[in-house]
Amino acid sequence: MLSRDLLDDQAHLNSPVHLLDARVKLVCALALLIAVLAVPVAQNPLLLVHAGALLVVAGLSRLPAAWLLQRMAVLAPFLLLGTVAVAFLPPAGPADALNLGPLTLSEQAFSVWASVGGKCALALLIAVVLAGTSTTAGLLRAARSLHVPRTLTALTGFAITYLAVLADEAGRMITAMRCRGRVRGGMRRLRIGASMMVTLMARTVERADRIALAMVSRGYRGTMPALDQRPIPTPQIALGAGIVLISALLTVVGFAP
Amino acid sequence: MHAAEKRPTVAEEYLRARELSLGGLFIALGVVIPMAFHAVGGGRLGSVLLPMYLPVLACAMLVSPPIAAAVGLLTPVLSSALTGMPPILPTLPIMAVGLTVMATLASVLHRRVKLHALPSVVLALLSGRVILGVVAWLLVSVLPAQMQDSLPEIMHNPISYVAASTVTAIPGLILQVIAVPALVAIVEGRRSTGNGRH
Amino acid sequence: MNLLEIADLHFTWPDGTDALRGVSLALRKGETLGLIGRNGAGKSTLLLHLNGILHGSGSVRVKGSSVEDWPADELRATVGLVFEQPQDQLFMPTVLEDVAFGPLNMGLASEAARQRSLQVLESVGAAGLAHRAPHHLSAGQMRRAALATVLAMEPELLVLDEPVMALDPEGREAVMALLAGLPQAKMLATHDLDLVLGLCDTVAILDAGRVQARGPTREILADEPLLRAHGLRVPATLQ
Repeated sequence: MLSRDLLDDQAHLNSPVHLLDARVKLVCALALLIAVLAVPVAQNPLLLVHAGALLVVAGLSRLPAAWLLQRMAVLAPFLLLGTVAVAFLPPAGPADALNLGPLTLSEQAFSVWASVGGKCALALLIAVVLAGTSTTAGLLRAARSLHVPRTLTALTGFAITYLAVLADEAGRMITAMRCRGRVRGGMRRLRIGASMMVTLMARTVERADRIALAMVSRGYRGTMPALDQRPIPTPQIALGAGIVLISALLTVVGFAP
Repeated sequence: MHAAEKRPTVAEEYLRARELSLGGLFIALGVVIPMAFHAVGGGRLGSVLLPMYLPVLACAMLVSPPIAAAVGLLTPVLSSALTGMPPILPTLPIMAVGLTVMATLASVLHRRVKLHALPSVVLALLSGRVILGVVAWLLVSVLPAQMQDSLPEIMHNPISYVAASTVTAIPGLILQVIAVPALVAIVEGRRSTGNGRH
Repeated sequence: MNLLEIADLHFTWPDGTDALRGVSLALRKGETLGLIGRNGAGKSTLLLHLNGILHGSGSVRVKGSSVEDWPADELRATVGLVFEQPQDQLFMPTVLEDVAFGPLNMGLASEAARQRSLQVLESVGAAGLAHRAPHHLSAGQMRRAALATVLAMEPELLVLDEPVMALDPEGREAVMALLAGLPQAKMLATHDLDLVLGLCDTVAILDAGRVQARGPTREILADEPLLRAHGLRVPATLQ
């Protein structure tokens, strides 16, 4: 359950999208995200164009469809709830009525919901494809070279580096607890749970202390050092620039009257 | 003489390094602990026990306010990205804002104002409830009027929404109030008796 | 001139525990010293004095100069500390970034640090691990990577805390062979006496914050009454 493979589980695939430099991917993803979010409600069909383009990229990435769906499923409850709400919303007047088979619903609410729900789904798709085709360490390096504050990248770096270690430690504690049998009574369970968590956190503080010692022993002087990254190959720069340009264009088109 | 100038820098470097390692590891705990609760008790435990609050508030007590704020922001974001919990919408923005404010406040109260851990946690949790109401109200108010009408009655009034979610989370709030000061006592006690390195 | 010279070193933790009560110890260039003693004897505390992280009273001299007079970064590069838990030593997202951490802090340019790191990884037999996440490695690979992070700083004295703990026999043998092949002077803090027998020229017994005995490895490790008095046992191979 506390899987080691939360990170980078699809990074081994060999696709054109995987081969792109993480910096190019990160910038393109941001540009696409802005373009998607900028689509006005009145231009909803434009979202379908974005969706088509993104699905092509997802196809090129060779990410398994089941994996993609599983990752997208986190939005399902939200989308479902919104859709049901809209489906049973009566139109404000005859001008607002939208007939879909047996249902008559509010056109305005339908458009707004299609925009909100569609944008959320597309934003998530962008994030999922980006994450699935990159290593976490690579994305972190890319974020650093795009001038995301060092403190944030350093903290995230420690977090992803120690995720598996701490998950194992928590897993061992749960196993030990289960070995001692089932505890009855809500308050008692809460107390035992609390003391387990305190132990886990206290051990983690000790580990953080040891890591800090190791850092200082290797000359840490107050900033996290980083290797320069290899230059991005020119074709990739061209491709990235193209995607950014098209996204910008679509963003502008979205706002055109 | 030379040495007298250097000693504080070793300690400072160590403390700065420790803020980062501690912050990063507790972000990871903020991903791991909710998963552990989920594994042991199923999904409902999340809204009852607020397991992500625990490492974030505990960490906030042990680091400076800027790092605490970063931990409050990054923990739910990373957890959402890696495990899908909390869902990106609508829970993630509410939690990200809430945890950032709570962590910052807890750190300011305990580390800067030197308030004891217990009142610091209680005040931080109270501020978290206020934030919950404000953000929920904001989220509702951006929806078009017709959709607002279709929302459950409880979402219309931020106070009743906060009251309801607070009642659900009472065991979780108790957990924070017990566990966070307990950890702080262990860590700060160890430091003052010198088994810690500095 | 001795590479390392410790004279009458005292250290008391803030709570009043006397961890070191007058340690004196010297190490020549190229020598491998086993620092043995029971848990709580002060081994780890002593190691943290060697690169200036802890400061006690008395003197610690590296290459003739007091550690207090060394610029901090040069001292950290000259005396390389390898900690007991490789998991705590490998804190960067990839092995390469981890190995490059020290050289970059020493002021090496990025490309030079990358080259040196790759070289060192190859020399410890971990060339293929450069882009892996450290905590998905096997215990033996993790030990190699942790060693590489310190070797990349090109230390003249390697200080290792329990270097083969928690390794299986095969991994242990491999790491021991690797250590034996390193030209640097080494100080190994451990209570694994077979390891000491295999690697160390000389041995010092640390107990109650003092060096209780110091001499050639075989002599000390065969002295049963001496070992027993300090909570140690004669290794099986010498019995």
